[in-house]
Amino acid sequence: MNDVGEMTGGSKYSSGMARIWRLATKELRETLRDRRTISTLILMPLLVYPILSLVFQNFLISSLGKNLPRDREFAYSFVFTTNVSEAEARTLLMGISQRISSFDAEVEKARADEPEVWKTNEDLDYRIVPKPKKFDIPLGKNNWLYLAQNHRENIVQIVAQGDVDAGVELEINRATRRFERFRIVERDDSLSAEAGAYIRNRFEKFNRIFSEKSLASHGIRTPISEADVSKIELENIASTGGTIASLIPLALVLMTITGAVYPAIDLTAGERERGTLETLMAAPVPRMGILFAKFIAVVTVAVLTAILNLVGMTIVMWVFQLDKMLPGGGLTVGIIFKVFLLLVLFAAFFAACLLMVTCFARSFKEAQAYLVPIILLSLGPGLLAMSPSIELSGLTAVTPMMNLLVLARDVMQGGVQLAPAVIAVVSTLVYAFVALSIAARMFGADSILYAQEAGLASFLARPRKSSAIVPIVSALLCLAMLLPVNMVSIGVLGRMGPQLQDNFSMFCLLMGCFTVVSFFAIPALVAWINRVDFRSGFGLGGTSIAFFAAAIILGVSLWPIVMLMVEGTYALYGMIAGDAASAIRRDMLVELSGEQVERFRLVPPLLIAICFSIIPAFCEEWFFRGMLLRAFAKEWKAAHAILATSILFGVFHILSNSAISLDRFLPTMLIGLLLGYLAWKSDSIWPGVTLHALHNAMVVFLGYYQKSLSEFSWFPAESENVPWSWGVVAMVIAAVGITIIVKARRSDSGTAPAVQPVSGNL
Amino acid sequence: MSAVINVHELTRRFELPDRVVVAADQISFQVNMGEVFGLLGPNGAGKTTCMRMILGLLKADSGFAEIHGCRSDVQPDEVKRRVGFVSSSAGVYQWLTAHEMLSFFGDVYGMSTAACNAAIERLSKLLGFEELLYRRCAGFSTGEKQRLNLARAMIHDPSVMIFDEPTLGLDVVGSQTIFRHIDFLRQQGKAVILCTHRLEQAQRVCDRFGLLHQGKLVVGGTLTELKQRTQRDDLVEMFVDIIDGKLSSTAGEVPA
Repeated sequence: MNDVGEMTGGSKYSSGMARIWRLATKELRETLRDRRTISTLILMPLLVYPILSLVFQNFLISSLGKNLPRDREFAYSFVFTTNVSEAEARTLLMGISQRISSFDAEVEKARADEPEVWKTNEDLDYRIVPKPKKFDIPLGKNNWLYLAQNHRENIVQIVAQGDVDAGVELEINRATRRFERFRIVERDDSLSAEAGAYIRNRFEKFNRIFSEKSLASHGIRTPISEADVSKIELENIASTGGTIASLIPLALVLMTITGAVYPAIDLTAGERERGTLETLMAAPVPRMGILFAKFIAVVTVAVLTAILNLVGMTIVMWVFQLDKMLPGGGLTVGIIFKVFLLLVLFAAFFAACLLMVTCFARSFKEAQAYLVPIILLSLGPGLLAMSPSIELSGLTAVTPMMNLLVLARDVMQGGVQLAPAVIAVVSTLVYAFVALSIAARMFGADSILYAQEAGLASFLARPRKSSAIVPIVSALLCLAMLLPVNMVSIGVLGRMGPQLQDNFSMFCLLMGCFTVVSFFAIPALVAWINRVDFRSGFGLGGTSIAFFAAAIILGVSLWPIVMLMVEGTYALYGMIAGDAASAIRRDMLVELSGEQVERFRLVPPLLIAICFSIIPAFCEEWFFRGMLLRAFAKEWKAAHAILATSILFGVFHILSNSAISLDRFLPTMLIGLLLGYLAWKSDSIWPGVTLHALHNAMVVFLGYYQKSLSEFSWFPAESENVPWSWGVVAMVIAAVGITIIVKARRSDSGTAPAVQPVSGNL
Repeated sequence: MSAVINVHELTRRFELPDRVVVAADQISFQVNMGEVFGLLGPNGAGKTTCMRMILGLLKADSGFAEIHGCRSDVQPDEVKRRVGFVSSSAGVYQWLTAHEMLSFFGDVYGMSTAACNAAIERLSKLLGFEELLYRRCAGFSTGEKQRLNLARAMIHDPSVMIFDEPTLGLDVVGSQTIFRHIDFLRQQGKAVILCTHRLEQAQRVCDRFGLLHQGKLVVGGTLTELKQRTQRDDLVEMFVDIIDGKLSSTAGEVPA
């Protein structure tokens, strides 16, 4: 009875690894139930990759210009008019197109197949390729819009509006089939100029073929043949992909570190702080066993993080079509798996390092303080590994972290050398073992004696009561979830776009669905999980009619101000980046919106109103001014809360158009400020929804009915700016609206306001 | 009666940056089966250091401690297997349920699942926390945590129990539970060491005492013996004398 220890001691040799695994299971169970682990595990990849991809996209747009993969069916779009019938004209054009193509095919055949040549010397890697034939798109592959002869004067307007790239006017002699008159209408932008040059080139080429053939029939050849142009492509061009190939592993590695840091601290210093370590040490388990169990737990969490990050990265690379930029020819399952194995190895190595450091620490804070410099230090080799000139050999192969990063880069580029790869892997394993051994010596040493007692209880509060406002942490988590959801929605829309070209209504509906899911459904779910009363949590209560009046006034008056502001942003961008850059940027936007406008004029107006006005207005107000502003205002000063939500509102609108619409930030943010103030003052989202819906409707329908409106002489054409005078008038009207908001009071009949309008609200 | 716990001239110094602290200075005492030994002393007297050396968590500079004839510096695992340790700083695994935590420790002590479950059932009934078994420890009150820790320390049915300030932070009822349980352990024939501040309760529950001051065992024996030596009626007065330096370590050896 007294010595039960003798009885239980019998099983001590039977376990071993099994027991270590059981110890590890307990550690894992503890770690994975901890919210903080989950947040780094799941939220970080959700956030980081979309942001990273944005950086890439902007980078690629600026460095590659128009070489981005485009899913365009047509090369250019033209509007044409002619004195003959449409069918006749099209037949003629097709004939020309076919003649040119068959001539090119002959030339191509005659030309010996010249292989791509790669030349390497010390300074420069380059290859010689035939110059891409910009003009070689067959005429028939373009989009030709026919304009009846009696409307020929409209050709200028259609081109000016950006509905097509250029206009072509053909006067054909029916008898001789000669193009007696051939006129091209271009806009003053590069795309239109390109389209015009293309048409000229095609017709000139046809003329040349004609003359060459007729001369050849007389046995005469032209004195100068057509030039073969070769282009030298420097390695730099491929290095854009190379940058991705080295940046992605760095991001993955950093994320894996993030995943491992918290459990490493919590399972060592954290346990010491909570007083469970001493109890564990008082039990008959070997130190090394406990430490090894902890190591397994940390590695597992780090690997889980790595998996989630890999999945996130793969999705983002696919959605944003970054995989196409990789030199090795894209991501394959094999590459992803190899990168995953490297991440596991890295996780093991870094977990050991982390445990080594955290075993020295007596408290959570101390451990954190130790780890920050370590992580910063590890960034050094990480950044060095990004240099494209670095190869895996010698010193590089044994430099911790750097070796795995360079190896991962090579794996992604598809060029791994076996020997240095083995060196890198083995050396990493050795480092891991060394670090773990040091940790084992330190772990649970006498230093537990002077452990500090610091409560972590504050982290453990688990609110289960129903509440009026969504807790700020949950609101922020919701925000963090929305960002990636939004980005993926945009990506899906981007990929679906070309397929839904003929059914733009469907596209609009899809867009509406995405808006509902992100800005309505997810916040609603978060509020429901937190047991928040929707009426108070989202500000669904009624308010004074004055706020609605103000909202209507502002809703119809803000658009000229916004449009002028966008113009102003271009001007500003021009000042900073130079006029040329500004013009290119603008052209890209005009091209984008030009295409959109044409397609969306085919959608019924009711659907436009629902998808572009009502749904976004309600859903965005629901989230930004409903959940987010109220959650912020509960914890912060109202002014700060309004500012923060409006900035976030602006940020989301940069994202929601495309990666490049930074120009929308300022106006959107300012409207966000106004909406925030309105929502806070009125303690309801409904006036904001009204304002938002009206404003969106104004902007959208002005574009929709542009053609009809342009018939009025006073209305600016599509390519023209809004007159300044309109802006001034709009500002005066808006000022009236804002004054009403400032002066108005909430209706007293409503329920007590959930967010008190006190500036010092805490 | 043989001594289950034998502490022999345990000594430990700590070198701090500015001075050397002698946390334990040649401490010797013995505890028999069915006996509760109270190791009392003001803060910083060296009680916790002493406990940790007995358990083998801390190495002694000189001297040794034996449990059932196993020296804690030679066979620490054998000692740990025979001892249940409850301290005021002992934490619980917040993200585990009480049952999971107890099963984990059962596993650590090498118990079979069946034996472990039986022990959990018995202890939860004994300590009255059956309804807490499947709740996560994060939400437990201090008293509930301490009861869980008590169960954790006894999961492997050790013959020796060491309590280091077990009632710190507990209310009257909580302390009462602990002391009643210590009484129960004595009846079960266990050897118990109790370090505490609660002198009145210690006076009631302990069979013999050792009064520590600045790492030295100043005086020891049964209450009657202590009264004789110190000419004081209760522990509180003796304590005050110790702190004032009116009692010196030459006052007596602790008899076996």
